[in-house]
Amino acid sequence: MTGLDLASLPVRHLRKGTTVYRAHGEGAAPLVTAVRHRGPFDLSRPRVTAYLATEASAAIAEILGPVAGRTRAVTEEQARRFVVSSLIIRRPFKLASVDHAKARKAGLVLPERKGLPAFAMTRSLAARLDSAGFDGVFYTSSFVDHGRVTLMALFDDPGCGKPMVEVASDFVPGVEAAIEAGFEVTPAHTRAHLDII
Amino acid sequence: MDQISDYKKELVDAIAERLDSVFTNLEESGREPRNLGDIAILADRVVAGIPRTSPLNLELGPFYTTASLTKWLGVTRQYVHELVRQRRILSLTTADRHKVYPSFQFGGKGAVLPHMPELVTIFEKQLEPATQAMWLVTPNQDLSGETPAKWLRHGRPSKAVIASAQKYVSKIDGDDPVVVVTA
Repeated sequence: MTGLDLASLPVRHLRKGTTVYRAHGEGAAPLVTAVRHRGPFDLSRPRVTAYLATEASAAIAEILGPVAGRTRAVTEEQARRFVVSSLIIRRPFKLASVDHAKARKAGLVLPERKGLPAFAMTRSLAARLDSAGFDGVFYTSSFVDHGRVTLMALFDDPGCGKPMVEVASDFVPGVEAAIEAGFEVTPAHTRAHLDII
Repeated sequence: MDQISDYKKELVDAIAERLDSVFTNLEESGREPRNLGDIAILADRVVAGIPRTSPLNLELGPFYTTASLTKWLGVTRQYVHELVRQRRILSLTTADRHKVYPSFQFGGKGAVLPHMPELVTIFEKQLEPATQAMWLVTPNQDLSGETPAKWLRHGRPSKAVIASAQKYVSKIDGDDPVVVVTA
């Protein structure tokens, strides 16, 4: 990947005014940044990365997918704890579309994002893209099966310039978002509903 | 299987009997059956009323009660409560306030999953107990598609499971909240 010509990567522009989405805990901030190197495209301080989605269903699927089992089911109690916030992009972003076929053609072979060690490679790519003037990356969600690119990691320096997004007043409650995204939301069970040993 | 076939036949017969009455009524009132709407949609509505196996049973069940768990493990109720207090096992509270314990967290001889206290501590602010349990039985990309429970049960490195749990929690609430302008 070191020989990769970053200029040959497909570019997607995120326009000012575009609505993007993030699912989060009901009491948590609609926008948070990642700096602890736990996400695939985290940068080193003072640069930060914000993970967002192009669709509300992709945003909630990212949060619920890892706790929904094979049946894609979540408890109503848990779904109620989440909301999907809408955020409006305040300045244009130039993003590298890293899962695009043209990116592979250009020689970008990303490891499947299976296993945390694979993140070392994606983080190194993020650092290179950041240095080369990209404002983030577009990539696919493994929890959404329609195959469209649905997630984005936006690079920012919170200390300078205006905030990357503003929070729109509307949000989708977690239960509604989960159902829309195809999850089964299960109500609280009585003991009689459960298989007891 | 025969029991299911027999039950299904009885159910279909009972529905058919009731449908006879519905269509007799339709005929008497001079209405067209087509006015009832799309047959597939009507069939879905009828079937929707039939109770299904809960996904919680499929994913987490069966469940021990405190009584059955103490009997199986040969321990006191106090010991079970202490395991819960120490976050070494997960207990779920049903809507009618019974404590139940998902069986997947116990090995063949009753061995509990290792590293549960660390995992529960990571999750407890954001995930209710049933969802903590669901995380443990959901195939996890960070663990090459294995579920965290099986990964731990097979004695694989716990560091990967802990890191994956921390990553998940970071995904929900991030590392640093950002103050943003509200429209």
